[in-house]
Amino acid sequence: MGSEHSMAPRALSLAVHELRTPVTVATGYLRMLIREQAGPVTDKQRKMLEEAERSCGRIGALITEMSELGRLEAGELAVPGVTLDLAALVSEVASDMHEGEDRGVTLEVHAGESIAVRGDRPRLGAALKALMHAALRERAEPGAIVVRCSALERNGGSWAVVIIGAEIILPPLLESAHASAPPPFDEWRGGLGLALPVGRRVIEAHGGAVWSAPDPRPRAGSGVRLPTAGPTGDSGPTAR
Amino acid sequence: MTTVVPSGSGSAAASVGERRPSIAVVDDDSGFAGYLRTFLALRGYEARAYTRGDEIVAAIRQGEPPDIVLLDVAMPGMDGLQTLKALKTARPELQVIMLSGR
Repeated sequence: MGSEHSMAPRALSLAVHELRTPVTVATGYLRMLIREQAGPVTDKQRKMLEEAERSCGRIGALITEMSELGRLEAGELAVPGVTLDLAALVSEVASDMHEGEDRGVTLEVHAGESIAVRGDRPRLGAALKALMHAALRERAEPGAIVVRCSALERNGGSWAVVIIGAEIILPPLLESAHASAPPPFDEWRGGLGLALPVGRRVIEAHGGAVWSAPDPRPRAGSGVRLPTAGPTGDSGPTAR
Repeated sequence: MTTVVPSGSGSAAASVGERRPSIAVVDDDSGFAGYLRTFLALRGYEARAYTRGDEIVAAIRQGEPPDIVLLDVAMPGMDGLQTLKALKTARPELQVIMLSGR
């Protein structure tokens, strides 16, 4: 049983190592060709090479996610104790997302009051981005995806909550934030790479939780709960 | 893995007088070693590629050593650290940069 659990991160680490080198080589040669370091290329050839380079970039991003997932599974990532404003991070991440605009799907952010949490800002930002990206990608009809960041008192502790989804599913999503075991999170979805599994593990490594809406449509939205930073700099949830 | 080396063949060649600075690449992945050789050659370096640790050790014992060795850590047979030890025994002044994809 134990060996099965330890095999997955090792297999992932080995796969990352074995994949990285050929992708580096392919990307490197493509760049040489695009820069015409091996002779002139026609416009048509350039477009093909640039598309191939973009595809290599996608594989490279997936390899980076695999590497991150392997390190998280192996417990190799330490969460730094840096205090950050989660509301500002939510706004920052959302402002940079334009997926879905061509389909009339937009993000509507409500994150006014500062909420201090402790952790790894880039990784938390990537986790939030993955959740927003999934919501934007999976919404078929035009409309707004609401992103709401708020504070929550629960079991004598103080938490930051981010809920992401269509307006109609926000109340049940927020209600789930109070649960000791929120609804499960569907992280293994096609077309979204490994960003959701990585994001869930990052949030859990921060002492938080992520869940899907308790809705017949499990992909309709998601919620995140993170312990707030205490006034004395404690990393766990604090009583008010 | 990202490869970043100063560009411009003129500046690379000028830094060691008339001779182009030489770099030996040692990596058991011949595709990667060949790519690095091409990459470095385009930037004005005299680059040679080896796919085994014992090959570079034998070459350095017999001939003029390169200015720098780029040496992969994980290789079958004589690995990077064993190769490093043998290279330093043969040529203590040799400059070696270890490469790792992990």
